[in-house]
Amino acid sequence: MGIIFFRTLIIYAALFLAMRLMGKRQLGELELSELLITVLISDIAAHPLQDIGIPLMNGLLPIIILLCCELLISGLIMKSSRAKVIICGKPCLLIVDGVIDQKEMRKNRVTLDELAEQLRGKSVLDLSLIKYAVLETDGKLNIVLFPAERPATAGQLGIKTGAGGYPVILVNDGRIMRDNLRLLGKDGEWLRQELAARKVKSVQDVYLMSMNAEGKIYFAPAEGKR
Amino acid sequence: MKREFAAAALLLAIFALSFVNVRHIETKTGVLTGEITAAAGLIAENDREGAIKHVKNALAGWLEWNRYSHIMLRHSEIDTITDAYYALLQALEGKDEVPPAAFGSLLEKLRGLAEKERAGLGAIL
Repeated sequence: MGIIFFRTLIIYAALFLAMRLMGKRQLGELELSELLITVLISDIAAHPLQDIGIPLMNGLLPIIILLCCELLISGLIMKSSRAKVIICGKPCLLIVDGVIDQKEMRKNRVTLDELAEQLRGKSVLDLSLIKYAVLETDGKLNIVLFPAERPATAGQLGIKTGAGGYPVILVNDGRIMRDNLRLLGKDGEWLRQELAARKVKSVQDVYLMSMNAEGKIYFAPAEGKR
Repeated sequence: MKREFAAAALLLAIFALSFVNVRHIETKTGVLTGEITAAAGLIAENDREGAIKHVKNALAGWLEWNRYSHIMLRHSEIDTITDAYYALLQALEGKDEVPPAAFGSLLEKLRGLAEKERAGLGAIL
């Protein structure tokens, strides 16, 4: 038990240090401590499952220890910005005013090919259009274009737009979502009328029906039932 | 902050329990090795029946400990020790002379249990 305790802590610390030194390129939308927990737990949990000769405790104990470590580290990160910088690092500017910071690129082990790939993923092919490219602590690359290169918004163009709103599902594959109906202030009678207006006899014949805050309805009949 | 305190408390509890676990294994194996050592002493005095009684007591104690040992120890180690008990008992119940090594092997395995659980630098690394 004591051996498992110390071994788990040592492996966690060693992996933490190794991943931290590898740079943010190795991460992918997970913070460092979260990634480590994911990697370690998936492996640790598998051993007692594969070999029934290993006590389940040998798998459960490291998981509990890792969970405690993660809770302590995430708590520390929330409380202290200095601890956050030490544990997670800080965002790095890879491009400033259209110029690549080669030192930061090397420091974070990001190659030009990888940078270009990330930028292509954001439909940006010309580096000179980029005001800032920020490598976040979770390994994601965010870019800010020069103001002149940013897409015009409806507000800038003086176009009036509706409020939009989140579409709420009212019928899901033939089932009425009564809570959602209540949320929009509607009832079964209203739904029946809406279906009748679409020449639908039964709710069973509806695959999806949703409505947003403006009252705009999306309707998809169930295929093969009408 | 409650979660962090709970996590720290749980880590400390596991750390403390690891010492309790080693202590418990030491105590239990101490009793069992005591019985085996007594049996070895009786064999030296040609009291085979007395030796068998001690080994049977030790085996019963070992089997009673089954639930805890299966949760905390590797099952292969448990099987090895159980086999060693039965081998010793078989030797004692036979007509041939029982060599001291037959006791020594079981004693070593029992003492090794606590040794393997102790979190020394060598064991950790």
